[in-house]
Amino acid sequence: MHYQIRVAKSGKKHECNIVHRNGTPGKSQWSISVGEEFELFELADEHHWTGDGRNYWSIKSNRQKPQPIGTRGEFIARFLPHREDTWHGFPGCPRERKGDRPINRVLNAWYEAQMISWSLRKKIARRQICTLYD
Amino acid sequence: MHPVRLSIEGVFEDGYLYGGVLYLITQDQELWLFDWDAFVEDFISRIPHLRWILKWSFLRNHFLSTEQFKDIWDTCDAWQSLWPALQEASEKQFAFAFDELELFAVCRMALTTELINDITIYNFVLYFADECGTYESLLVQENRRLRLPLKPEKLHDVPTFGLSAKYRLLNTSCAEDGLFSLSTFSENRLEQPHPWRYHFEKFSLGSVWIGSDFISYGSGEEFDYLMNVRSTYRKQVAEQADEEREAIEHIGERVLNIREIVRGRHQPKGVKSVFTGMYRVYVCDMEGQLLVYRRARRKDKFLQKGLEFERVVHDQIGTIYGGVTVHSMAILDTGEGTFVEDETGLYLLEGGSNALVRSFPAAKWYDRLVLSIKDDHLSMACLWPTPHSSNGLE
Repeated sequence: MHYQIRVAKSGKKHECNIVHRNGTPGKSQWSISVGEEFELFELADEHHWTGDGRNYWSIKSNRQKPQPIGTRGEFIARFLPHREDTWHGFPGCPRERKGDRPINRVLNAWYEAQMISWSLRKKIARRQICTLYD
Repeated sequence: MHPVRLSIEGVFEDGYLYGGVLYLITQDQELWLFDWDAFVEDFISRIPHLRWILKWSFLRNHFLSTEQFKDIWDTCDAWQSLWPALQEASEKQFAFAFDELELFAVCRMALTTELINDITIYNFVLYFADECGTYESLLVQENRRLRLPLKPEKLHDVPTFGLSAKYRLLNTSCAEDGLFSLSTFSENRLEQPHPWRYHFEKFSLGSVWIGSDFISYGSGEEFDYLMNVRSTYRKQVAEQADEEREAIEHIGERVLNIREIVRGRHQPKGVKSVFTGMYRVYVCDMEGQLLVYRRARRKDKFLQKGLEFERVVHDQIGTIYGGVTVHSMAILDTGEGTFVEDETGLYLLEGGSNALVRSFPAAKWYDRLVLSIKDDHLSMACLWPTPHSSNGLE
Protein backbone atom coordinates (compact mmCIF):
# COMPACT_ATOMS: atom_id res chain seq x y z
CA MET A 1 0.00 0.00 0.00
CA HIS A 2 1.32 3.42 -0.93
CA TYR A 3 0.28 6.92 -0.10
CA GLN A 4 -0.82 9.45 -2.66
CA ILE A 5 1.64 10.27 -5.42
CA ARG A 6 3.09 13.78 -5.40
CA VAL A 7 4.83 15.39 -8.33
CA ALA A 8 8.03 17.44 -8.01
CA LYS A 9 8.72 20.55 -10.08
CA SER A 10 10.82 18.51 -12.52
CA GLY A 11 7.95 16.10 -13.16
CA LYS A 12 9.43 13.25 -11.11
CA LYS A 13 6.89 11.52 -8.93
CA HIS A 14 7.21 10.59 -5.29
CA GLU A 15 5.20 7.98 -3.45
CA CYS A 16 5.48 7.24 0.24
CA ASN A 17 6.11 3.57 1.00
CA ILE A 18 4.10 2.40 4.01
CA VAL A 19 6.66 -0.19 5.14
CA HIS A 20 8.90 2.66 6.29
CA ARG A 21 6.11 4.05 8.47
CA ASN A 22 4.31 1.05 9.95
CA GLY A 23 7.12 -0.52 11.97
CA THR A 24 7.86 -3.34 9.52
CA PRO A 25 10.83 -5.27 10.95
CA GLY A 26 14.07 -4.71 9.08
CA LYS A 27 12.82 -1.50 7.47
CA SER A 28 14.07 1.86 8.68
CA GLN A 29 11.28 4.13 9.87
CA TRP A 30 10.67 7.81 9.14
CA SER A 31 10.22 10.17 12.07
CA ILE A 32 9.11 13.03 9.83
CA SER A 33 5.76 13.59 8.12
CA VAL A 34 4.95 12.46 4.59
CA GLY A 35 5.00 16.10 3.51
CA GLU A 36 8.52 16.57 4.88
CA GLU A 37 9.62 13.36 3.16
CA PHE A 38 8.42 14.80 -0.14
CA GLU A 39 10.25 18.07 0.56
CA LEU A 40 13.47 16.10 1.01
CA PHE A 41 12.90 14.37 -2.32
CA GLU A 42 12.22 17.67 -4.05
CA LEU A 43 15.35 19.17 -2.54
CA ALA A 44 17.46 16.27 -3.82
CA ASP A 45 15.88 16.53 -7.25
CA GLU A 46 16.33 20.30 -7.42
CA HIS A 47 20.03 20.15 -6.47
CA HIS A 48 20.67 17.02 -8.49
CA TRP A 49 22.02 15.08 -5.51
CA THR A 50 22.35 11.93 -7.53
CA GLY A 51 24.99 10.00 -9.39
CA ASP A 52 23.15 7.94 -11.93
CA GLY A 53 19.77 9.67 -11.97
CA ARG A 54 18.23 6.73 -10.10
CA ASN A 55 19.62 6.94 -6.56
CA TYR A 56 18.96 10.25 -4.82
CA TRP A 57 20.18 11.30 -1.38
CA SER A 58 18.91 14.16 0.70
CA ILE A 59 19.49 15.82 4.04
CA LYS A 60 17.67 18.27 6.27
CA SER A 61 20.20 20.55 7.86
CA ASN A 62 20.69 23.97 9.33
CA ARG A 63 24.21 25.42 9.56
CA GLN A 64 26.10 22.14 9.64
CA LYS A 65 23.57 20.64 12.04
CA PRO A 66 21.66 17.83 10.34
CA GLN A 67 18.23 17.04 11.69
CA PRO A 68 17.10 13.49 12.47
CA ILE A 69 14.65 12.08 9.95
CA GLY A 70 14.48 8.48 11.17
CA THR A 71 13.35 6.91 14.42
CA ARG A 72 16.88 5.74 15.28
CA GLY A 73 18.33 9.18 14.58
CA GLU A 74 19.18 8.60 10.92
CA PHE A 75 19.83 11.85 9.06
CA ILE A 76 20.42 10.81 5.44
CA ALA A 77 17.44 10.11 3.23
CA ARG A 78 17.76 7.84 0.24
CA PHE A 79 15.29 7.69 -2.64
CA LEU A 80 15.03 4.84 -5.12
CA PRO A 81 12.79 4.43 -8.18
CA HIS A 82 10.25 1.66 -7.81
CA ARG A 83 8.63 2.18 -11.15
CA GLU A 84 9.07 4.53 -14.06
CA ASP A 85 9.47 8.13 -12.91
CA THR A 86 8.25 7.28 -9.41
CA TRP A 87 10.52 7.23 -6.37
CA HIS A 88 10.11 6.17 -2.76
CA GLY A 89 12.45 6.96 0.11
CA PHE A 90 13.66 5.77 3.46
CA PRO A 91 16.13 6.85 6.18
CA GLY A 92 19.54 5.54 5.14
CA CYS A 93 22.35 4.04 7.16
CA PRO A 94 25.72 4.21 5.35
CA ARG A 95 27.37 1.91 7.86
CA GLU A 96 24.95 -0.91 7.18
CA ARG A 97 24.23 -0.47 3.48
CA LYS A 98 26.70 0.47 0.80
CA GLY A 99 24.14 2.27 -1.35
CA ASP A 100 23.00 4.51 1.51
CA ARG A 101 26.33 6.34 1.39
CA PRO A 102 25.98 9.32 -0.95
CA ILE A 103 28.55 9.59 -3.71
CA ASN A 104 31.53 11.93 -3.20
CA ARG A 105 30.12 14.69 -5.42
CA VAL A 106 26.97 14.85 -3.28
CA LEU A 107 28.96 14.80 -0.04
CA ASN A 108 31.17 17.63 -1.30
CA ALA A 109 28.09 19.62 -2.32
CA TRP A 110 26.61 19.23 1.17
CA TYR A 111 29.91 20.27 2.73
CA GLU A 112 30.25 23.31 0.46
CA ALA A 113 26.67 24.31 1.20
CA GLN A 114 27.54 24.08 4.92
CA MET A 115 24.95 21.37 5.50
CA ILE A 116 27.51 19.04 7.06
CA SER A 117 30.81 19.67 8.78
CA TRP A 118 34.15 18.39 7.52
CA SER A 119 34.32 15.74 10.22
CA LEU A 120 30.81 14.50 9.46
CA ARG A 121 31.59 14.39 5.73
CA LYS A 122 34.64 12.29 6.51
CA LYS A 123 32.68 9.89 8.72
CA ILE A 124 29.94 9.43 6.12
CA ALA A 125 32.53 8.86 3.40
CA ARG A 126 34.22 6.18 5.48
CA ARG A 127 30.84 4.66 6.37
CA GLN A 128 31.53 5.02 10.07
CA ILE A 129 28.23 6.58 10.90
CA CYS A 130 24.56 5.68 10.77
CA THR A 131 22.74 8.03 13.10
CA LEU A 132 23.34 11.40 14.68
CA TYR A 133 24.07 9.60 17.96
CA ASP A 134 27.02 7.56 16.62
CA MET B 1 47.89 12.40 32.20
CA HIS B 2 49.32 15.68 31.01
CA PRO B 3 48.97 16.54 27.32
CA VAL B 4 51.26 18.97 25.50
CA ARG B 5 49.60 20.11 22.29
CA LEU B 6 50.24 21.95 19.08
CA SER B 7 47.76 22.70 16.33
CA ILE B 8 48.00 23.55 12.64
CA GLU B 9 45.22 25.35 10.81
CA GLY B 10 43.81 23.83 7.65
CA VAL B 11 41.31 21.34 6.31
CA PHE B 12 42.93 17.92 6.04
CA GLU B 13 41.76 14.57 4.76
CA ASP B 14 44.29 12.49 6.60
CA GLY B 15 47.68 12.58 8.25
CA TYR B 16 50.50 10.34 9.42
CA LEU B 17 53.80 10.83 11.19
CA TYR B 18 56.63 8.51 10.27
CA GLY B 19 60.40 8.71 10.45
CA GLY B 20 60.64 12.46 11.06
CA VAL B 21 58.24 13.30 8.24
CA LEU B 22 54.65 14.51 8.55
CA TYR B 23 52.44 13.21 5.73
CA LEU B 24 49.30 15.26 5.16
CA ILE B 25 46.58 14.88 2.58
CA THR B 26 44.77 18.13 1.97
CA GLN B 27 41.16 18.75 1.03
CA ASP B 28 42.06 18.97 -2.67
CA GLN B 29 43.63 15.49 -2.63
CA GLU B 30 47.25 16.58 -2.53
CA LEU B 31 49.83 14.65 -0.55
CA TRP B 32 52.28 16.92 1.25
CA LEU B 33 55.42 15.83 3.05
CA PHE B 34 56.88 18.11 5.70
CA ASP B 35 60.22 17.89 7.44
CA TRP B 36 58.67 17.46 10.89
CA ASP B 37 62.00 17.42 12.74
CA ALA B 38 63.06 20.74 11.20
CA PHE B 39 59.65 22.30 11.86
CA VAL B 40 59.70 21.31 15.53
CA GLU B 41 63.35 22.32 16.01
CA ASP B 42 62.55 25.69 14.50
CA PHE B 43 59.61 26.50 16.72
CA ILE B 44 61.17 25.26 19.95
CA SER B 45 64.28 27.32 19.30
CA ARG B 46 62.05 30.36 19.92
CA ILE B 47 60.95 29.05 23.32
CA PRO B 48 64.29 28.14 24.94
CA HIS B 49 63.02 27.65 28.48
CA LEU B 50 60.63 24.90 27.34
CA ARG B 51 63.07 23.44 24.87
CA TRP B 52 63.48 20.01 26.48
CA ILE B 53 59.84 19.41 27.23
CA LEU B 54 58.82 20.31 23.67
CA LYS B 55 61.63 18.33 22.14
CA TRP B 56 60.70 15.24 24.13
CA SER B 57 57.04 15.79 23.33
CA PHE B 58 57.12 16.21 19.58
CA LEU B 59 60.46 15.00 18.27
CA ARG B 60 61.11 11.75 20.12
CA ASN B 61 58.95 10.50 22.93
CA HIS B 62 59.42 6.75 22.81
CA PHE B 63 61.57 6.79 25.92
CA LEU B 64 58.57 7.96 27.98
CA SER B 65 57.29 4.41 27.72
CA THR B 66 60.54 2.68 28.65
CA GLU B 67 61.07 0.78 31.89
CA GLN B 68 64.03 3.04 32.75
CA PHE B 69 61.92 6.17 32.48
CA LYS B 70 59.13 4.59 34.52
CA ASP B 71 61.63 3.75 37.28
CA ILE B 72 62.95 7.29 37.35
CA TRP B 73 59.50 8.86 37.20
CA ASP B 74 57.93 6.63 39.84
CA THR B 75 60.69 6.09 42.36
CA CYS B 76 62.82 9.21 42.25
CA ASP B 77 61.84 12.80 42.55
CA ALA B 78 63.18 13.48 39.09
CA TRP B 79 59.75 14.52 37.90
CA GLN B 80 59.87 17.51 40.26
CA SER B 81 62.51 19.21 38.14
CA LEU B 82 60.44 18.75 34.99
CA TRP B 83 57.05 19.42 36.49
CA PRO B 84 56.89 23.26 36.32
CA ALA B 85 57.98 23.31 32.68
CA LEU B 86 55.59 20.48 31.83
CA GLN B 87 52.69 22.29 33.44
CA GLU B 88 53.54 25.51 31.61
CA ALA B 89 53.84 23.70 28.29
CA SER B 90 50.54 21.89 28.74
CA GLU B 91 48.74 25.14 29.50
CA LYS B 92 50.09 26.94 26.41
CA GLN B 93 48.47 26.90 22.98
CA PHE B 94 51.06 26.31 20.28
CA ALA B 95 49.04 27.24 17.19
CA PHE B 96 50.44 27.51 13.67
CA ALA B 97 49.05 28.61 10.33
CA PHE B 98 49.48 26.29 7.38
CA ASP B 99 51.87 28.84 5.82
CA GLU B 100 54.30 28.34 8.70
CA LEU B 101 54.33 24.59 8.13
CA GLU B 102 54.57 25.06 4.37
CA LEU B 103 58.08 26.50 4.81
CA PHE B 104 59.18 22.98 5.73
CA ALA B 105 57.49 21.17 2.83
CA VAL B 106 59.78 18.73 1.08
CA CYS B 107 57.38 17.20 -1.41
CA ARG B 108 53.93 17.81 -2.85
CA MET B 109 52.10 15.34 -5.04
CA ALA B 110 48.62 15.35 -6.57
CA LEU B 111 46.78 12.11 -5.90
CA THR B 112 44.52 10.67 -8.54
CA THR B 113 42.62 8.67 -5.95
CA GLU B 114 39.06 9.16 -4.73
CA LEU B 115 38.48 10.45 -1.19
CA ILE B 116 41.04 8.72 0.99
CA ASN B 117 39.52 6.30 3.49
CA ASP B 118 42.70 5.29 5.30
CA ILE B 119 46.46 5.49 5.05
CA THR B 120 49.25 3.63 6.77
CA ILE B 121 53.01 3.40 6.48
CA TYR B 122 54.98 0.28 7.17
CA ASN B 123 58.56 -0.60 6.35
CA PHE B 124 59.01 2.49 4.16
CA VAL B 125 55.95 1.86 2.04
CA LEU B 126 53.00 4.25 2.10
CA TYR B 127 49.60 2.60 1.57
CA PHE B 128 46.36 4.37 0.63
CA ALA B 129 42.81 3.06 0.62
CA ASP B 130 39.92 4.58 -1.25
CA GLU B 131 36.64 3.56 -2.85
CA CYS B 132 38.40 2.16 -5.87
CA GLY B 133 41.07 0.07 -4.22
CA THR B 134 44.35 -0.07 -2.35
CA TYR B 135 47.50 1.67 -3.51
CA GLU B 136 51.14 1.59 -2.48
CA SER B 137 53.89 4.12 -2.86
CA LEU B 138 57.47 3.17 -2.06
CA LEU B 139 59.40 5.71 0.01
CA VAL B 140 62.77 6.09 -1.68
CA GLN B 141 65.85 7.47 0.03
CA GLU B 142 66.37 11.07 -1.06
CA ASN B 143 69.19 11.99 1.27
CA ARG B 144 70.54 10.81 4.59
CA ARG B 145 67.39 11.79 6.43
CA LEU B 146 64.50 11.96 4.00
CA ARG B 147 62.62 9.49 1.86
CA LEU B 148 60.23 10.62 -0.84
CA PRO B 149 57.29 8.68 -2.26
CA LEU B 150 57.18 7.29 -5.78
CA LYS B 151 54.02 7.57 -7.84
CA PRO B 152 51.30 5.42 -6.17
CA GLU B 153 50.47 2.15 -7.86
CA LYS B 154 47.31 0.17 -7.44
CA LEU B 155 47.75 -2.98 -5.41
CA HIS B 156 44.24 -4.27 -5.25
CA ASP B 157 41.03 -3.44 -7.08
CA VAL B 158 38.40 -3.61 -4.33
CA PRO B 159 36.82 -0.65 -2.45
CA THR B 160 38.76 -0.40 0.79
CA PHE B 161 37.85 1.24 4.10
CA GLY B 162 40.60 0.24 6.50
CA LEU B 163 44.24 -0.77 6.39
CA SER B 164 46.60 -2.39 8.83
CA ALA B 165 50.10 -3.48 7.95
CA LYS B 166 51.96 -5.99 10.01
CA TYR B 167 54.90 -8.27 9.37
CA ARG B 168 54.74 -9.30 5.75
CA LEU B 169 51.06 -8.62 5.31
CA LEU B 170 48.84 -5.71 4.44
CA ASN B 171 45.33 -6.34 5.77
CA THR B 172 42.44 -4.52 4.16
CA SER B 173 38.84 -4.19 5.36
CA CYS B 174 36.65 -4.01 2.29
CA ALA B 175 33.16 -4.02 3.83
CA GLU B 176 30.75 -6.30 1.98
CA ASP B 177 33.55 -7.50 -0.27
CA GLY B 178 35.33 -9.12 2.65
CA LEU B 179 38.64 -8.95 4.38
CA PHE B 180 41.80 -9.32 2.36
CA SER B 181 45.37 -9.91 3.25
CA LEU B 182 47.98 -9.04 0.69
CA SER B 183 51.45 -10.43 1.04
CA THR B 184 53.31 -7.40 -0.14
CA PHE B 185 56.81 -8.30 0.92
CA SER B 186 57.14 -11.57 -0.89
CA GLU B 187 59.97 -12.31 -3.25
CA ASN B 188 57.73 -11.53 -6.18
CA ARG B 189 56.39 -8.31 -4.72
CA LEU B 190 56.54 -6.60 -8.09
CA GLU B 191 54.08 -9.11 -9.45
CA GLN B 192 50.41 -9.13 -8.58
CA PRO B 193 49.81 -9.83 -4.87
CA HIS B 194 48.06 -13.07 -3.99
CA PRO B 195 45.34 -12.13 -1.55
CA TRP B 196 43.41 -14.56 0.56
CA ARG B 197 40.00 -13.55 1.66
CA TYR B 198 37.69 -14.25 4.51
CA HIS B 199 34.14 -13.27 3.76
CA PHE B 200 31.78 -12.16 6.50
CA GLU B 201 28.09 -12.46 5.89
CA LYS B 202 27.20 -9.47 8.01
CA PHE B 203 30.35 -7.49 7.90
CA SER B 204 30.61 -4.61 10.31
CA LEU B 205 32.85 -1.89 9.02
CA GLY B 206 36.08 -1.23 10.82
CA SER B 207 35.58 -4.09 13.22
CA VAL B 208 38.24 -6.49 12.10
CA TRP B 209 41.72 -6.89 13.41
CA ILE B 210 44.25 -9.39 12.21
CA GLY B 211 47.19 -10.39 14.35
CA SER B 212 49.93 -12.84 13.59
CA ASP B 213 47.81 -15.75 14.77
CA PHE B 214 44.32 -14.44 15.40
CA ILE B 215 41.47 -12.42 13.95
CA SER B 216 38.89 -10.65 16.03
CA TYR B 217 35.82 -9.34 14.34
CA GLY B 218 32.31 -8.14 14.96
CA SER B 219 29.78 -9.60 12.61
CA GLY B 220 27.19 -6.95 13.35
CA GLU B 221 25.36 -9.28 15.74
CA GLU B 222 28.08 -10.89 17.78
CA PHE B 223 31.76 -10.78 18.49
CA ASP B 224 34.07 -13.62 17.53
CA TYR B 225 37.65 -14.12 18.39
CA LEU B 226 39.27 -16.52 16.01
CA MET B 227 42.39 -18.03 17.40
CA ASN B 228 45.36 -19.77 15.97
CA VAL B 229 44.73 -18.56 12.47
CA ARG B 230 47.26 -19.31 9.83
CA SER B 231 47.31 -18.87 6.14
CA THR B 232 48.31 -22.24 4.76
CA TYR B 233 48.30 -23.97 1.45
CA ARG B 234 45.12 -25.42 0.06
CA LYS B 235 46.31 -28.99 0.32
CA GLN B 236 46.65 -28.87 4.09
CA VAL B 237 43.38 -27.08 4.57
CA ALA B 238 41.47 -29.73 2.70
CA GLU B 239 42.41 -32.11 5.48
CA GLN B 240 41.71 -29.79 8.37
CA ALA B 241 38.80 -27.68 7.16
CA ASP B 242 36.04 -27.05 9.62
CA GLU B 243 32.51 -27.39 8.31
CA GLU B 244 31.52 -24.16 9.97
CA ARG B 245 34.10 -22.35 7.95
CA GLU B 246 32.79 -23.01 4.48
CA ALA B 247 32.96 -19.32 3.79
CA ILE B 248 36.69 -19.57 3.35
CA GLU B 249 37.51 -18.62 -0.17
CA HIS B 250 40.45 -19.82 -2.16
CA ILE B 251 42.19 -17.11 -4.09
CA GLY B 252 45.57 -17.86 -5.49
CA GLU B 253 47.19 -20.60 -3.52
CA ARG B 254 46.86 -19.32 0.00
CA VAL B 255 43.78 -19.71 2.13
CA LEU B 256 42.81 -19.00 5.67
CA ASN B 257 42.73 -21.84 8.13
CA ILE B 258 40.93 -21.27 11.40
CA ARG B 259 41.45 -23.90 14.01
CA GLU B 260 39.60 -22.53 16.95
CA ILE B 261 36.83 -20.03 17.63
CA VAL B 262 36.54 -18.45 21.02
CA ARG B 263 33.45 -16.54 21.98
CA GLY B 264 33.41 -14.34 25.02
CA ARG B 265 30.87 -15.28 27.67
CA HIS B 266 29.68 -11.71 27.83
CA GLN B 267 28.47 -11.15 24.31
CA PRO B 268 27.97 -7.54 23.25
CA LYS B 269 24.63 -6.38 21.91
CA GLY B 270 25.66 -5.87 18.33
CA VAL B 271 29.17 -4.80 17.45
CA LYS B 272 30.07 -1.33 16.32
CA SER B 273 33.82 -1.61 16.38
CA VAL B 274 36.61 -3.77 17.73
CA PHE B 275 40.15 -2.87 18.61
CA THR B 276 42.64 -5.57 19.47
CA GLY B 277 45.78 -4.63 21.26
CA MET B 278 48.69 -6.57 22.60
CA TYR B 279 46.91 -7.58 25.77
CA ARG B 280 43.28 -6.66 25.41
CA VAL B 281 40.40 -6.66 22.98
CA TYR B 282 37.98 -3.75 23.16
CA VAL B 283 34.51 -4.24 21.73
CA CYS B 284 32.05 -1.38 21.35
CA ASP B 285 28.47 -2.50 21.08
CA MET B 286 25.65 -0.78 19.28
CA GLU B 287 24.37 0.75 22.49
CA GLY B 288 27.64 2.55 23.10
CA GLN B 289 28.85 0.17 25.82
CA LEU B 290 32.45 -0.91 25.75
CA LEU B 291 33.43 -4.44 26.72
CA VAL B 292 37.02 -5.29 27.49
CA TYR B 293 38.47 -8.75 27.12
CA ARG B 294 41.91 -9.75 28.27
CA ARG B 295 44.00 -11.92 26.03
CA ALA B 296 45.23 -14.34 28.66
CA ARG B 297 47.80 -17.05 28.13
CA ARG B 298 46.48 -20.56 28.56
CA LYS B 299 48.84 -23.25 29.74
CA ASP B 300 46.76 -26.09 28.40
CA LYS B 301 46.91 -24.76 24.87
CA PHE B 302 50.64 -24.33 24.42
CA LEU B 303 50.57 -20.81 25.80
CA GLN B 304 48.17 -19.57 23.18
CA LYS B 305 46.23 -16.49 24.09
CA GLY B 306 42.61 -17.16 24.98
CA LEU B 307 40.01 -14.61 25.86
CA GLU B 308 38.69 -13.73 29.28
CA PHE B 309 36.13 -11.10 30.08
CA GLU B 310 37.86 -8.54 32.22
CA ARG B 311 35.90 -5.51 33.25
CA VAL B 312 33.26 -3.08 32.15
CA VAL B 313 34.64 0.11 33.59
CA HIS B 314 33.98 1.99 30.38
CA ASP B 315 30.22 1.57 30.58
CA GLN B 316 29.92 5.10 31.78
CA ILE B 317 31.47 6.45 28.60
CA GLY B 318 28.74 4.89 26.56
CA THR B 319 25.93 6.10 28.73
CA ILE B 320 27.27 9.59 29.13
CA TYR B 321 28.79 10.30 25.77
CA GLY B 322 26.99 8.11 23.28
CA GLY B 323 28.83 6.10 20.67
CA VAL B 324 32.46 5.28 21.16
CA THR B 325 35.07 4.26 18.64
CA VAL B 326 38.29 2.77 19.94
CA HIS B 327 41.37 3.93 18.09
CA SER B 328 44.07 2.38 20.16
CA MET B 329 44.29 0.53 23.39
CA ALA B 330 43.76 3.59 25.48
CA ILE B 331 42.40 6.22 23.14
CA LEU B 332 38.66 6.43 22.68
CA ASP B 333 37.06 8.73 20.14
CA THR B 334 33.48 9.69 20.92
CA GLY B 335 31.05 12.17 19.48
CA GLU B 336 31.95 14.44 22.39
CA GLY B 337 35.71 14.30 21.99
CA THR B 338 38.80 12.18 22.42
CA PHE B 339 39.29 10.37 25.71
CA VAL B 340 42.47 8.84 27.03
CA GLU B 341 42.56 6.19 29.69
CA ASP B 342 45.46 5.77 32.01
CA GLU B 343 45.70 3.89 35.24
CA THR B 344 44.44 6.85 37.23
CA GLY B 345 41.28 7.42 35.25
CA LEU B 346 39.71 8.62 32.08
CA TYR B 347 40.58 12.04 30.71
CA LEU B 348 39.10 14.24 28.04
CA LEU B 349 42.00 15.06 25.75
CA GLU B 350 40.02 17.28 23.43
CA GLY B 351 36.36 18.09 23.10
CA GLY B 352 34.38 18.25 19.88
CA SER B 353 33.85 15.89 17.02
CA ASN B 354 36.85 14.53 15.15
CA ALA B 355 37.13 13.75 11.48
CA LEU B 356 39.87 11.32 12.36
CA VAL B 357 42.05 10.26 15.27
CA ARG B 358 45.36 8.50 14.84
CA SER B 359 47.85 7.17 17.29
CA PHE B 360 51.17 5.60 16.44
CA PRO B 361 51.68 2.77 18.92
CA ALA B 362 53.96 0.87 16.58
CA ALA B 363 56.04 3.89 15.57
CA LYS B 364 59.60 3.96 16.70
CA TRP B 365 59.59 7.51 18.01
CA TYR B 366 55.99 8.62 18.46
CA ASP B 367 54.18 6.15 20.65
CA ARG B 368 52.87 8.87 22.98
CA LEU B 369 51.51 11.13 20.22
CA VAL B 370 47.86 11.42 19.22
CA LEU B 371 46.90 13.10 15.96
CA SER B 372 43.35 14.47 15.74
CA ILE B 373 41.96 15.97 12.55
CA LYS B 374 39.13 18.37 13.15
CA ASP B 375 36.97 20.57 10.94
CA ASP B 376 39.48 23.38 10.46
CA HIS B 377 42.74 22.25 12.04
CA LEU B 378 44.78 19.31 13.14
CA SER B 379 46.04 18.79 16.62
CA MET B 380 49.06 16.82 17.78
CA ALA B 381 49.15 15.95 21.48
CA CYS B 382 51.89 14.23 23.45
CA LEU B 383 50.59 12.40 26.51
CA TRP B 384 52.86 12.84 29.50
CA PRO B 385 52.27 10.84 32.66
CA THR B 386 51.34 12.43 35.93
CA PRO B 387 53.76 11.95 38.86
CA HIS B 388 53.73 8.42 40.28
CA SER B 389 51.64 7.25 37.35
CA SER B 390 53.99 6.55 34.51
CA ASN B 391 52.35 3.47 33.09
CA GLY B 392 49.27 5.08 31.64
CA LEU B 393 49.30 3.88 28.09
CA GLU B 394 49.99 0.31 27.20
